[in-house]
Amino acid sequence: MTPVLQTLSLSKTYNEGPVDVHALRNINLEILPGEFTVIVGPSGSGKTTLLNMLGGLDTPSEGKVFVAGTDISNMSENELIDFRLHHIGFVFQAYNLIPVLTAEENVSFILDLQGRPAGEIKARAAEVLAEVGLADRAKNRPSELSGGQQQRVAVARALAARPQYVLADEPTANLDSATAFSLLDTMKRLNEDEKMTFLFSTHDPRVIDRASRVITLVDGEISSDERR
Amino acid sequence: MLLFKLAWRNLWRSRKRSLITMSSVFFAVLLAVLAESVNRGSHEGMIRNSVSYFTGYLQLQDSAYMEEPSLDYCFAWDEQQESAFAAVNGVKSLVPRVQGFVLAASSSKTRGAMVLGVDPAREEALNGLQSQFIAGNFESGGIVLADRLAERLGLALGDTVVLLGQGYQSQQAAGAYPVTGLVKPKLPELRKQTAYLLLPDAQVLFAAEGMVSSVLVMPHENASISSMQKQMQSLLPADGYVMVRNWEELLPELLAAIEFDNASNRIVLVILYIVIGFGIFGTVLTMTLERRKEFGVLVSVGMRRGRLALMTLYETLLLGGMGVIAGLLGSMPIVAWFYDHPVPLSAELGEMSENFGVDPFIYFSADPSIFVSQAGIVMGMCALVALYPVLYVNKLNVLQASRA
Repeated sequence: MTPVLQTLSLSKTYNEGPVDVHALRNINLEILPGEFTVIVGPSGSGKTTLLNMLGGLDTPSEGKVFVAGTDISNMSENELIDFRLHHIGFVFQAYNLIPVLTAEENVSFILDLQGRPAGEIKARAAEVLAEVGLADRAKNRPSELSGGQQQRVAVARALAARPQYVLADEPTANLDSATAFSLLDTMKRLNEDEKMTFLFSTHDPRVIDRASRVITLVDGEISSDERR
Repeated sequence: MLLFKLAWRNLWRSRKRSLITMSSVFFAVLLAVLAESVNRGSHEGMIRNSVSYFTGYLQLQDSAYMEEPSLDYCFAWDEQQESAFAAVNGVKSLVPRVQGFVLAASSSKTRGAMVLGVDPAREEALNGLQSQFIAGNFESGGIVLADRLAERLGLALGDTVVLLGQGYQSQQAAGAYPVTGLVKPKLPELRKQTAYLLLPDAQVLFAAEGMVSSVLVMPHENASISSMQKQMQSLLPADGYVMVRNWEELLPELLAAIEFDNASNRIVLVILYIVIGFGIFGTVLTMTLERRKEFGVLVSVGMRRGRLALMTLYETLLLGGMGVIAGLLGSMPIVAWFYDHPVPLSAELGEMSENFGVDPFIYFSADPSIFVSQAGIVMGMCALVALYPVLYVNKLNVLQASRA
């Protein structure tokens, strides 16, 4: 099976004054379609840096990142932006919805940027909102939604353009237990029903419990990679 | 459309802030338009007065007359010339005059006076001379005195005034004329010294039969003065002494005064623009900095920096544009009203103004270029301010911003 995501000898070094900080060292990784993977590790272990590399938000010091066989390591900024727009879904810890748009418009936003036809955008937004259980809140703005509902909208936004994978950075960190469980159930269902690939960076045991694969990072290196 | 929708809604995230900024733009445009309208209106009034009483928009005169306004520089003027110049495209009227300086004497007093030989009907069309009569009228062989000159000489209707001076080519100019009329010209300068004779009578007095000192030319509305000047000049012999001057050449002091006035007005406007510019910049700066994270997220999820910059540009232009439109809509009816109803000055101010040869009214100009230029300047300022968020977006560290 062709991996959705693959890294080859990925390293990232930050130059902070006279000291070189090795955030990632020689990461070799393959994420297969439909996997529900979490990256865990203590603070400073390189989880976020790895996620940034996999999301095309940061460039490696060495090594390569392939998405469905395409090398994104040497793309220009605009190429990377367009690549993210069409191939990667993002879910942030703080939801990061656009406050002046309704839930439906937030979900439509990515499709709008892609230049899809209006009819298709409307239909897809309604479909994804229904999938995350928010069909009845489509016309509400983020300020009129609870934290859990906002994160569901964020998940719907990430899924709307049917990306090749979704990167979620601590998506449950700001949610209470019940809301977090409910959101994770929704994501797990989407993973199983639509074979959507999810990749999480998290400390949350509730997420780790549901993962099909757990990758542990320590000091910028993979210390374990466990498939369940 | 997406960017415009986002920009529009972003403006209303802080309704009060946006409304205050738009209000400041509104008042800036309103004040700037009114100030410029009064400025130009008063200048147009000064030009109108000077042109209608003294020079015309164009004037035929001897090339030496401007430096030395002597009767020796009179030139022949006949019906054939009159017809040729009247046929020039854009000419509304030609007003021939003979002008000379004399001593005017009553039985007990003598004063210096300016004698204007005029055609009353043409002067009426030029400056409404007929409406300035306070007693009597023009009569052949009689003289019409300006009210203050008559007062100085102690003369009334029916009295006789004796004129004594020098005519064309140093011939003696002398005559006794019954006062048949008294006028009150608008300009105080004219009230103190002007005596009007019918043109033929003045030509006889100055021994300049068939000659004039100058011919004032009034154009039809919207006629091109420069084109008329060229056409008229082409009717004159190239090696002759008579030439056509325009009002700007004839009134250099007035032009200089207007330029000076414009410069002071511009300084006030520039201060106003700077204050308003910083007001807009303050709002745009806050709107930009408080959304750093949002900008980072938008680029992260796939919005190109160029589109993001365009969105911020729309925001600033909308902010300024709405203020400008409101300012224009607010100022138009005010200017239109005062254009039709000039504001009369109080008695004291009016007198002061008359002493400067200006009508005792505040005139407003309704020239469309005032609205266009003020709107353009404020929008240009907004475009300048809009550069800040555009540059900010282009330099944004997306990774740091999205995690801020």
